[in-house]
Amino acid sequence: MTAQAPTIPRYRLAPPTEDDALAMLARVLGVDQAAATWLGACRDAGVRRTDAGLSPAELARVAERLSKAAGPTGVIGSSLGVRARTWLLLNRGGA
Amino acid sequence: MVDPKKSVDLGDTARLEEIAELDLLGPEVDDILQATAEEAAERLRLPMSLVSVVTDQAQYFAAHHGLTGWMREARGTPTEWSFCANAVRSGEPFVVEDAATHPLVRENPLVTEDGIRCYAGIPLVTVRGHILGTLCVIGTEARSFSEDEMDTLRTLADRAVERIEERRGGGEQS
Repeated sequence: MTAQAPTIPRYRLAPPTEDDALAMLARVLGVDQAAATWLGACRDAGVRRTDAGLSPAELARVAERLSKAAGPTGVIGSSLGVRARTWLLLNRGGA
Repeated sequence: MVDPKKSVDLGDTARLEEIAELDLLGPEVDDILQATAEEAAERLRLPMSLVSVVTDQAQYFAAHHGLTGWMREARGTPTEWSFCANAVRSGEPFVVEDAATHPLVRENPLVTEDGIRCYAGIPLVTVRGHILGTLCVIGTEARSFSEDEMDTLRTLADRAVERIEERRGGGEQS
């Protein structure tokens, strides 16, 4: 499941995806707990998941929610947030 | 106790737990480390400085001085662009005198698109031996760094770690 946002050419930066987020979480939580944590963060952020995947802006909102969690999960949320914000800012700037 | 001389796995769970325990990714951390970042830039006569926290996915700017544009707003970058990640992985200072010719960074977008040309970063090592990130200075013109300047940066990095350790709560400092 991937969002349909483009790679930013000059920076060679692809937008982060839900798959990226789940893989990051699975490394510290295991696959099942990662999926449950992600679903909970989506729900708490008011983001509805679809087959098309989340947009980078939606992903940034979920990451912001995730960053409030305790322990490594919060650190992962912050990291994901930096990646999503970087893509959004550079995309907005026409890079 | 982690051996800081071993190559660091940026995604190591124990390291991420250390970053979480020290609560380094909150906005209030900037107030605690800002003065140190500012002093580093001033004493080395460079326009930018950071206290960075590096994970396997992103570097987060816990404190910064002189940043503008998207980097200031994003408050970090993807790890693959992070100069600081080199110092964290190796546990050694990382110095770039001319980014345009340095083999590790010359194709980095922060160099080709954002104009970074010089960098010096000192790893921030906790009492438990985890390397969190760096205190670093950044410039837009090529330059060298003297031993005295690197000593200054080390002293300020030690101060940053002291301030960070004060966040641990239990008084674990050695």
